[in-house]
Amino acid sequence: MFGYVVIDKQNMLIKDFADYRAYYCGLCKALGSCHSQLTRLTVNYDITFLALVAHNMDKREPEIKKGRCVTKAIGRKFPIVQNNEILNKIADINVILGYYKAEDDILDKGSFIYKFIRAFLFFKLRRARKRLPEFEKKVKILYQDLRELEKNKETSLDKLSHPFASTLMEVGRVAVNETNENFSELCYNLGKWIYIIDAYDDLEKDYKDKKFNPLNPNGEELTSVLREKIKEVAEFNLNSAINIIRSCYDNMDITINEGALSNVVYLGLRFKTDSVLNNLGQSRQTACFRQGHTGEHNE
Amino acid sequence: MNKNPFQILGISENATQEELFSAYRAKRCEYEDKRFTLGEEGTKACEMLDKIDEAYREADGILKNRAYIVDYNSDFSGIEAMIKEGRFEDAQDGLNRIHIRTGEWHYLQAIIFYKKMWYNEAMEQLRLALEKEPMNERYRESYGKLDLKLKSQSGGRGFYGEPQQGRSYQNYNNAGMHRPRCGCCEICGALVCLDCLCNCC
Repeated sequence: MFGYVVIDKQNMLIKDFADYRAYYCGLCKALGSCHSQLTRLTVNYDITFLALVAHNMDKREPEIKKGRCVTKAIGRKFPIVQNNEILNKIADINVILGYYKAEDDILDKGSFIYKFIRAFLFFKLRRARKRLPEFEKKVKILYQDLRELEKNKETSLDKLSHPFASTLMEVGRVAVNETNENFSELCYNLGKWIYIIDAYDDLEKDYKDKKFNPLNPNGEELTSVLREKIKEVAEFNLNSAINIIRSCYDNMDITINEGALSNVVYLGLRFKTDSVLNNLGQSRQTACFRQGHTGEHNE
Repeated sequence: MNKNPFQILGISENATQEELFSAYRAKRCEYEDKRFTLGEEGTKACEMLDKIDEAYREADGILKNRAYIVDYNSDFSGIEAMIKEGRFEDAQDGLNRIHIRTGEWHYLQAIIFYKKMWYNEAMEQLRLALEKEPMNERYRESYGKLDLKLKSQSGGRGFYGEPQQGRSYQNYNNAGMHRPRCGCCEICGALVCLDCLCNCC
């Protein structure tokens, strides 16, 4: 989706990275088998986190076999999570979310590439819709609510982040068989975190294109005073969301691939927050280079 | 008014609106016929009628205020009960119907926002509640707890009891961990190693 829920790769044990990659590549294969080979391109870090959490909530040990990456036909085999119901469900969720995100981007920016993505995902959406009809309806309504709030230039950050946070709460409810209040709270705050960090990242761009940004709802000029104020508000909201996510995570019973999940929750979220808050207006590639990452794609 | 309006109308302070109106009519009847008589009697009657009118207005205002406070207190406890039962939509409707924003109103609104996970709004409402009633310990305690929850890293709800200990990366200090990678140092380092191993550089 957005690619913000990342690992802190520099501070990750190799065994945990191998686990994380097994899920990432497992999802790529699941998308390929559930939908089409080209749909594999929609795999992202966010749903990898979701896959890790879903396996823990359902207490489902993944089946692991060695396999190759489709882009490296001649290469060493490495462990990949085999397809199961959880990954299939997440593949459908990803397609539905991707379609409505593309539709939202078309209404915002109207560029050709988003129209192409939407057209491409439409047929996959039809297939996913048959398997998850209730979820698809809810996502559609929540995106409409969000557009309504943005059109009315709502100023309350809680109200603006509510539709997207609720979307992620629905995602959590659908992806696992049995949810609880703690897990719903984690998903809600994760959705809020993603929404606000995406808004902060797009602050400059939205101001230039005269598009609505939740952190600058009146489209005021970005003076240094306003930037400081926005950074303070964003920092408070992002940090409080992270703290609540951490406390919800602490109360969960994590037995499967705990290392990879803990890396995301304790280090990855913090790392991403710091890198976005301190690089206002910079492109993602430059930010990653300055943080010392290799050139691996972040989308 | 120097005298108690209820005394002038001859009723007790705990009278209802109907009793007040009846007393007002009765008192007026006493003096209405006499107001057109000539001389002092007429003047006195007019003065008394004015006093009775003023007393009625004052007593009416007092009774109406009392009704507000009594009604809203019972409304607030009803809303609190709805919140405890988890009926947040009904509780919000109940709050929207009350137009007087007391400290208790803001406190209940803060609880509803907290349950919806709208923490910014909840903090704002608690701040407003404290502004209206700065001495209220209950509001101050809730504000402190919410502040702690949002700012500290502990304070989870303990759904499964004690938070899990011994998680990986839990005690990593993010601040010092990102060493900027210098590509040149790595290349030099690799060359030094190669040189030592096989004398090729």
